[in-house]
Amino acid sequence: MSAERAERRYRGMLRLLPQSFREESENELLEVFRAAYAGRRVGRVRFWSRITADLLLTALAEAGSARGSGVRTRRDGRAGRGLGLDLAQSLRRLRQEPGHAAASTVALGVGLAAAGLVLTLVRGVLLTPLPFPDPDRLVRLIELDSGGGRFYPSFPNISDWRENARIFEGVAAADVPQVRTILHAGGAVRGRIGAVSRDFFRLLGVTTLVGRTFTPAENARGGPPVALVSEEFWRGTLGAQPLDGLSLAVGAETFAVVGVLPAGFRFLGDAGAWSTASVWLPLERDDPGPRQSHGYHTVARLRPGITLADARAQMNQLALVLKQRHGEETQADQVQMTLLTDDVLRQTREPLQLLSGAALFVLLVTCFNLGAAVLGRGLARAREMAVRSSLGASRLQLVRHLLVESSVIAVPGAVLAVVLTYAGLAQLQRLQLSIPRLDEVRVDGGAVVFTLALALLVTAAAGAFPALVLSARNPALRLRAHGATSPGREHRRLWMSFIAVQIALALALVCGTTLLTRSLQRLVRTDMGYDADRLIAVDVSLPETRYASPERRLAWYAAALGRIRALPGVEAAGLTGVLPDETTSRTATTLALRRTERTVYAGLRLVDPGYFRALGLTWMTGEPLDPVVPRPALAVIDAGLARQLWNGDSPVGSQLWNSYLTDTLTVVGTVSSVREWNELRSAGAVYVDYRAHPDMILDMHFVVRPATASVLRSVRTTLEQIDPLVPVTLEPLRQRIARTYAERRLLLLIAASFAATTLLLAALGVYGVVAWAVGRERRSVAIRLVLGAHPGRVVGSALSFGLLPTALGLAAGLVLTVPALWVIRSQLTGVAPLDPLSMLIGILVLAAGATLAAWLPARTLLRVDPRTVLRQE
Amino acid sequence: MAKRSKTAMRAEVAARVPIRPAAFAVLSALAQGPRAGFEILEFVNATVPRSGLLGPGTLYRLLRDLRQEGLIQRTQAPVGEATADERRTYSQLTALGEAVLLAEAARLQRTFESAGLLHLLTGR
Repeated sequence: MSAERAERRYRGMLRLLPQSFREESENELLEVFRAAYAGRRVGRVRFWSRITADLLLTALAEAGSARGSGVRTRRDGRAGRGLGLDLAQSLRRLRQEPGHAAASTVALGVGLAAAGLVLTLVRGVLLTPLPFPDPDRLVRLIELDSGGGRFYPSFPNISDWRENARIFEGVAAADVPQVRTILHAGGAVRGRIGAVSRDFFRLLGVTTLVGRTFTPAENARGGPPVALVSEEFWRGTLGAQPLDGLSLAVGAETFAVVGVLPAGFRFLGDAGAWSTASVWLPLERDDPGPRQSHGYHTVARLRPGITLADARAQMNQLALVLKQRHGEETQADQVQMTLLTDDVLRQTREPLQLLSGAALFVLLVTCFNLGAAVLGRGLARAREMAVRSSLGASRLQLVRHLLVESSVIAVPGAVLAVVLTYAGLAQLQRLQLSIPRLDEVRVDGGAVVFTLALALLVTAAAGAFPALVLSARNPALRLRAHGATSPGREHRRLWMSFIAVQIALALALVCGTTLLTRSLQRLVRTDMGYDADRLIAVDVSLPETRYASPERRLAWYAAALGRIRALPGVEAAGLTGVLPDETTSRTATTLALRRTERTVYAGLRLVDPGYFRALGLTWMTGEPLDPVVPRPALAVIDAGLARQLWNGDSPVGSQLWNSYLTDTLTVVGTVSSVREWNELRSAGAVYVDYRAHPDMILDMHFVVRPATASVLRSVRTTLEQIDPLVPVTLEPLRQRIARTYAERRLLLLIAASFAATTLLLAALGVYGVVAWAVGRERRSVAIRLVLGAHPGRVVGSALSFGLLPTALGLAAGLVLTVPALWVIRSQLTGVAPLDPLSMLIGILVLAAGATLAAWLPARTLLRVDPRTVLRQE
Repeated sequence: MAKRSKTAMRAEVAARVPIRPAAFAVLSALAQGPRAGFEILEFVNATVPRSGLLGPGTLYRLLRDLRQEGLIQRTQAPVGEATADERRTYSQLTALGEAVLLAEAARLQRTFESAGLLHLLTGR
């Protein structure tokens, strides 16, 4: 920010100060500010929060000193004096009623923090453009086949588009980064390695921090081995060495590092997540695969002036031409084109929008809660209002007084909110969720100013209506009657309706949260098709240099499997290329199966014949794979796939063909299906013997039963004994599964905290009104008790002050809840949006909370001693 | 300012000691001669731990209170810094301010002495 802008902003902020003080001090404040800004040694956020805090403190202290004991002399300007006086009186009242003040401040702080956190996320994640020049011209391309299947494009198709599509400045591809072992001069690390085609960085507009990107000659078949590294990897692992002579080994090859990418460079990763890689290699050096080998992230830059609609039309035209040229060989019947920004945020947008809605609810509840508090206190002070009004205070002055009174908590409330937002965001970022760009989100000066403005708005909105109502009474009547503290019926009605609204809003949030909880429960508890709790997953990554020959790889796995099975306590063990969770986005695990006319997608699983027993799958039809002799052309498929392709006929003996394994596969048997972790449906799977494909088995997984600590230990020791240089990681399978629920858990966590907040606020509201009724009725209760009334009836009438609005709120809440729950249906798995049980739970929770909140103050009536009360009166 | 008698001065000083740490820090900042507002801010923030909240507004109020107490006064830019921005406001100690500063320093020293902690100050 330029010094002039900073000064303008500060000058604007000075308006917070009382006018007379500002006039006298402005020049000196600006002078000090200018110098402080020029010589600041802290970050932007910290500097501005200090400056803001300083001004707020000064404003408060100046306003407070108005009622001081003559240190300061008379103030000039009538308006300023009135406002200062209001402020001073309000502050004094806050000190006299610290409980009220604290409750309101906390309510405001928590409500604003909810809004602040969600808005900060929305702004940072959704609204900030991608960090590339002209991001609106970057699009992502996906192949669509006639059956509606979506595929990451294959390289020959990408290459065709690159040459033929006039609408693009360029088309580039990137391989999904994979975790592999990287050897460098200082040792070996595991890191993500991606690969990009020609033009990739130029297209995105990314320039290197040091060095250069790949030349066309380097990104061509048989080009020299070169690599780019991320800034984090270069500084962290390579110690920021000069690039001259710097090299890395990945697999069997050594790559010269030619450039360092700028800090924070991200692109699409697994399953479309926004992700990073430590090392990037030239994609076109190696064979990028045939036309049916899908799996490249494809990005293109539209020429200026081309609209998305035009581009889509032209691209589909081109797809048609290419389809005629290549026939069955290509699956790209159509090409789907989306803005890259939309694509990155596809999975994030909706949860964030839902959370925005929930935050709005919290904010509304806060408003009504504060409004109810103002009303409540105002009713208790009806007499004071009457006196003020009799002494000549105009209605405007009364309203202003009440407004100021509700606004004095704005500043501490906003401060609390900023602190909570900051802490909440830090907590979220520590969780390392795969929300794209979450790590780039910051709570900045704008957010602080926004929160403060919102605080003032909320308190003003909450105070305005009650202020108008309270000031509208005829003062003469009120002073005359003895019941000066007994407010009119319409005031009570207003107060109760404020509470009913809070209950209604809270009900929607509580029901929504219950629904999300039940959905997650369904997901966690539904049968996986195997016993995940009893399995250990072991990741193995054979170093390519040491295990270059297929024989050595096979020998290692055979030896390891034999020794693991022989370990005491091990019930069963198996080997698989892909754990049952990992879904269909990785190239190596996906393939098209063709049976005469139909093409489907299924996961390819390289397994050993004992894998089915280890996982606990049920044999359906046919035979298992031969445990002794590997037969490359035989496959076992899962029941789901069999149903999908053969509609109940036996698939045994049928032929499958796919581009990846070259052989035609013959189905020998079917096993029970395995469910995907994050879905309720099963993923189709084709199992082939790993021993028949030794070229594909560098990275494999063991599954071992049972999942006890001693088995885990002995498996680790055994594998280390065979070859200490093979990196392995072991983990109970259940633990891995839990990680895939992280995002759902996060949404649930935030929703639950919002629901709890509103529940608490609504309960506070109920508590407040009942406590007031109790205080008011002590005298009449005492009289009724003396006259022989039953204590239960007495309590009942006080309770009704809280329970009546609760009942009304619940009824209104149901009407509100139905559309609210309908909106979140996309986030649910296996539960209907209008799940009656969730609604019932919501109603019960709120009713219980409200009853408790009403009971706490009401029960004190049971202990009323009529003599004491009447004597006091 | 009218010249005060020694006893009157002593009484005025005694009425003002002890002073608040922030006020003490500001007076110390001015012990070497007149300084501009920002220099005082820098000095205080550098010497008083956890005074991060001392910003322009707080400083202004503090200087104003000290002026009203007669401990400091506004002054012209010191010689040699005449090229500095003419709008800058400088503050300097009054005789009373200097006396209060010394009295407070002496009081602190006595406190340390009586607690047997003087070595913490002198480093011996």
